[in-house]
Parts: sequence; structure tokens; C-alpha cells
Amino acid sequence: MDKRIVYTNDDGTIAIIIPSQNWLAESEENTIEALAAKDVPEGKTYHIVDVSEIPTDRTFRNAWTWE
Amino acid sequence: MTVSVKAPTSTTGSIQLNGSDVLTIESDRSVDIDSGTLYVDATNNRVGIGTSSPGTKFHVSDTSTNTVKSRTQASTGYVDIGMGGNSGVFDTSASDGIRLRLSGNDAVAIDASSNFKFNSGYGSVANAYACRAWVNFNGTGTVAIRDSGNVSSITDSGVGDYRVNFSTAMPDTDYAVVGSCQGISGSDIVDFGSFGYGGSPTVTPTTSQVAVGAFAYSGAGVDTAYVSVAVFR
Repeated sequence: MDKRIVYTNDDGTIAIIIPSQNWLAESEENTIEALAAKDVPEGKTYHIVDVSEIPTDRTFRNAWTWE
Repeated sequence: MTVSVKAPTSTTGSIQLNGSDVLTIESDRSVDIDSGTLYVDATNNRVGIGTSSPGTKFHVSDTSTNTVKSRTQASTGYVDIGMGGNSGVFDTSASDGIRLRLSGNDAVAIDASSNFKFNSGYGSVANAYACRAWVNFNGTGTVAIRDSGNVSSITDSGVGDYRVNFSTAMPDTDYAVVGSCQGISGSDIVDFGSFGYGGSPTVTPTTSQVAVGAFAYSGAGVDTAYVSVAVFR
């Protein structure tokens, strides 16, 4: 199960958090939800998505938005 | 006070004080002083302290603390070796620290300020300034971490623009960041930047995160297949 965490930056672009498999394996408490609580900036709304939902063509990466 | 020597059978005997055994000699010539305080296993040629069944040549057992304690005469200095939970623990009061020596020369040391030092071809022991976090990731296609240490995640913030998030935060923001990134075929110079990349070089580092990036000579961010970051503190 390969997940990503997506949130919107202050300038409207989106940020995508890529988890470290080492960190996830360190403890049963290190879940994708715990990672979001730790690494998403405070106050930001975030979404946990499957990696397959993230485009692999990054040609227009800076124009990506969350819908 | 009555001291007596007894030989209750033809093969065992004891020395008693006021009628209680102080030293027992068993049938195999093993000697037990004070019920296991000191035991000599004559059959297996072993000595036990705190046990009457030594499992090795010299076996010290303290079931109350799981620790072997060595104290100076005044009891102010100590070296303890034992178990702390599931961890082995070596604890000393020595104010100058701990030294492991080879042929009389320090090879590894921990000084009084808890600085870890080693020689390893340097000529003498010197402080080891550790890499506190590192990561190697692919910044193209499906951005993914190949491997890492003390990194919980990276944040893809745009083309060539990333944040490295630490598992355990740095003690302050005075750390040093080094890194590298793969060049791009047919492109101009690709450089690595920290605390922001060429297009946005003003990202302030925090104790929990540092911004890094790959950028071209023009200052525009670029995605590269290999980005490596190491943080020293």
C-alpha cells in the first residue's frame, strides 16, 4: 500500500508528501495518518491518496492543483 | 561462637558457625560458601558469584538488579555492567569518560561531555561529527525515496523543489546540509541548493525540516533522477 499525502501550499500550488518506508517500518505507531499529523504544516487540510492518483508526467508539475 | 567441622557422609562435609553451614564441600569436591555467594564447581571447573550453578568459567549473577557492579572503596566511583530493560548497559561514574585502547593507545573514546571520538586512521581519537539525517530519492516520475536515515518523509513542493522532514528534530537550525543531484542529458548545469533552490532561495530552515532543490543555471527548478541529501550537526 503506497500512499501519498497531498495538501495545498499558501501560493495555491500543491505539496505531496512521500513517506520514508524506513520511518513507517520503525514502529506500529508510524502510520500514514501519524505522518500527516507530523509533517503536514499545522492548519493545512490534507488528503491521503494512493500513489497511482499522482500523475507521473511532471511537465506541468508547478501548475497542479487539488480538486 | 562455635566453629565446627562436620562430615555428615563419607563424601560431603561442611564448616559450620553456630550450627549453620558456612562452607560446604560437595561429593564432587565443589565448594559452596554461604549458599552460592561464592561457588567453585569442581566438575566443570567453573566459579560462580551469586549462583551455585555457574554456566560459564566465571559467572556473576545478581538477580535483583541484573547488574554487575564494581565500586571504588569510597563507593563514589563505579563501573556497572548489566541489563536495562532489554538493553545491555555499561555505566560508569568516571569523570574523564570511557576509553577503549589498543596496545595502550586510545582507539575509541567518549569524553566527559558525551562526545564520541574515534581514531580510525586519523592519527588520534577526535570528535566524530555525525550525519544526523540523510536521504536518496528519485525526483522524476513517481517521486520516491530509495533509502534514508532519520527522515520521515520528503515533501515534493514543485519542480526540483523539495523539503526533507526529519524523524527526530535537530537540536537547533545551525546544522550543515550537503547534497548532490544528477545532471540532465542535453541540459545546462544542474546544481544542488539547500535552504531553498535557485528560484526561491529564501526558505528558512527549521529544526524539523530543510528545503533542498535541484536547479538549472537559469535558476529554474529541474527534476532529476538522483537527489542525495546529508545533514550534519
